[in-house]
Amino acid sequence: MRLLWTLVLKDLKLFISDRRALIISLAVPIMIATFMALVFGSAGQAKPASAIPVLVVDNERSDSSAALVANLKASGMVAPRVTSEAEAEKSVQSGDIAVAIVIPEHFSTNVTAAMMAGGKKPELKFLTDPAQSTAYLAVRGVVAQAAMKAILKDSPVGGGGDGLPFDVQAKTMTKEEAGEQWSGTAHAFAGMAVQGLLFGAIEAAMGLMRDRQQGLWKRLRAAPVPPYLLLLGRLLSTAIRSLLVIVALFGFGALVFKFKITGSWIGMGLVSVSVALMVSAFGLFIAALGRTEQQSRGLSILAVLVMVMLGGAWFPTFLMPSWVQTISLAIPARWAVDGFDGMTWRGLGLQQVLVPCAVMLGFGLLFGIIALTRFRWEAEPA
Amino acid sequence: MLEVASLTKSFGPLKAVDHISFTVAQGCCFGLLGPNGAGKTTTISVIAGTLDPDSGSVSIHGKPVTTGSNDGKRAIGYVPQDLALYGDLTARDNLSFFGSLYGLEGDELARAIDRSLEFTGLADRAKEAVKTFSGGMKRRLNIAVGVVHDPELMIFDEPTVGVDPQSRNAIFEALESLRGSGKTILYTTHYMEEVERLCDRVAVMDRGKIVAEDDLGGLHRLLPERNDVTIELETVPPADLLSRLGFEGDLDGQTLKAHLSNLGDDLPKLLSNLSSLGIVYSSVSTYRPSLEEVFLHLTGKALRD
Repeated sequence: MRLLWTLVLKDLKLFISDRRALIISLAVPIMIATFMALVFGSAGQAKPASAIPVLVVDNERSDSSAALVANLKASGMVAPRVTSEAEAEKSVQSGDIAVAIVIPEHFSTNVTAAMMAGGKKPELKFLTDPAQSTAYLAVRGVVAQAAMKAILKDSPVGGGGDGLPFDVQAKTMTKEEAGEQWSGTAHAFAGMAVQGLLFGAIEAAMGLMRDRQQGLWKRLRAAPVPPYLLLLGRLLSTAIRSLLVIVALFGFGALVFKFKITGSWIGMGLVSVSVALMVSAFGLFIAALGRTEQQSRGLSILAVLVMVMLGGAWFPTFLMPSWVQTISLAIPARWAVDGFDGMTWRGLGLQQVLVPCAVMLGFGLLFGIIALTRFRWEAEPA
Repeated sequence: MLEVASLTKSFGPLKAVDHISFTVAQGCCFGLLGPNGAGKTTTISVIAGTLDPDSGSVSIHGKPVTTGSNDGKRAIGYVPQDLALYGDLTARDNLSFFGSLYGLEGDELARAIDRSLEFTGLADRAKEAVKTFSGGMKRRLNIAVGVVHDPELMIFDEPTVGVDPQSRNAIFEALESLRGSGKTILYTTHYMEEVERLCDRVAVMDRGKIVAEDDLGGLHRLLPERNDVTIELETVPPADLLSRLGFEGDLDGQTLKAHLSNLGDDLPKLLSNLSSLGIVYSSVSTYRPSLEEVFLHLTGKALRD
């Protein structure tokens, strides 16, 4: 333990002693996140490229409600799936689904009554993800059309009249204190945090390669210290640096853009630690596989850019085609962004980030094992 | 003290070290001499515990040295060819870090740091960042890091490659001081003059094998006996000087090189003949073979090929 602390402390001393690198590693992610937050904070999202997945909670269970679902499907614009209200709430809150529709009991009957006798309009409830507000707007129109078509088919009255014969109630599925107006801001900080940390990991890897070129790792290897401890020391010091960046970045975002951790604080801590360990192991992985700094830097940057782009750090993954969304599940950055999103503006609980954290730690373990088995302690002769 | 037994290490098809064996006695300065690519650094890496051999063993006082053997490694101070130092840390921080890796802590560590700084003459620069040091100071600190834990065996891996004369002298002074204090030293180089200056015993390596191992005198005796003598004359001699002297050799201006069959008998006779001919000489030197010639004799190629 004392040896491990010696190794970690040395790396942190080196990190702090290079003031310029320290400032850059903190300031650059903050600057980029600020820019992205300003761009995406209040802007709407683009229209999804494919049929929008929609969950339907059918509390009416009638031919009319079944026809409504069939009409939705026939529209080609949405892909409905009937489920329970609890699952619908959970899926929308976690951002897996943009919109869910809750058809209340006696909905068709009440709509017909409202149309014929001017009775009280029933309410059709929408559960919406604030990050995907465009999807809600698109779905609402399709649902209104499908509902009218399904109800009027068997109704003795024709269409017409003023407006819809039912009210629409939209419920944003985040905690109360969360607000749709800043969800894009928090997402920008989440995405840029992940991007900044991955680029930080590349820098750590390049530093490690420079040390190797300089013969430092050979000298360390000659010391009576197990090799795994040498790498673990590096892993932990980079992870601590990453945590520092996370605290600085989200602290700045909270102060300037006024967003809060609406989810579990323990969950936020767990996500932060998982992300920090994962990116740190990613740095070791690069250093283990790379032969020279010059050769590795370009490839690593390319890999990180692809990871953050597909992982939803720049644009939310729901804006991407479904096949890209599926691929992104194999990218650690996706889980990192989802984890931060869940804890900042989605307001998820600790239990709901356990899977993203487990996936990130799994990636970290994989990177770490590869690094340990493939690590080159000496530079190859020129 | 150090025993290397039948060490073998290959990298793919290349046999970098091929069944080499040698022992180094306590307090001895042992030189490993050979051209680039001879296998010296691979041998040193195995002895320092940074590389595991394919076969064979290394032990210090009977304790095995492998990449995973911490006891054996504690007895070794390794000074690599590169300046393996953290430039952003101070000299003291570098020594503190590496000393800690060898189990030193507290007052013991502080004393070890002070001792190393004194030994290398860096005490007054202890609190300065290493990146501000001159090349020579970095070289000295590189050695200080190797000695901070007071190891029994010091390993120097070509420490003078690419080093300016001043820094080279600093290294030699440190090495001679270590020798004086009774440390056992293993020194690799491809500069024969360094081995001749520093080492008690030398192993000559070529293509992964030890082609000869002896003290300097023993290595010189490997060459065929040559009793040549060079005499610098004060005046230009007659062209038939050699026949008048009764010896074979070469005359080049005022330099006379004579091949004698027996130095003890023939040299006094030669000098007496010169005097009797009235020829005055200013210097007389006998031939001393160099390790370069020994290497050439053993391998058929020059050391720096």
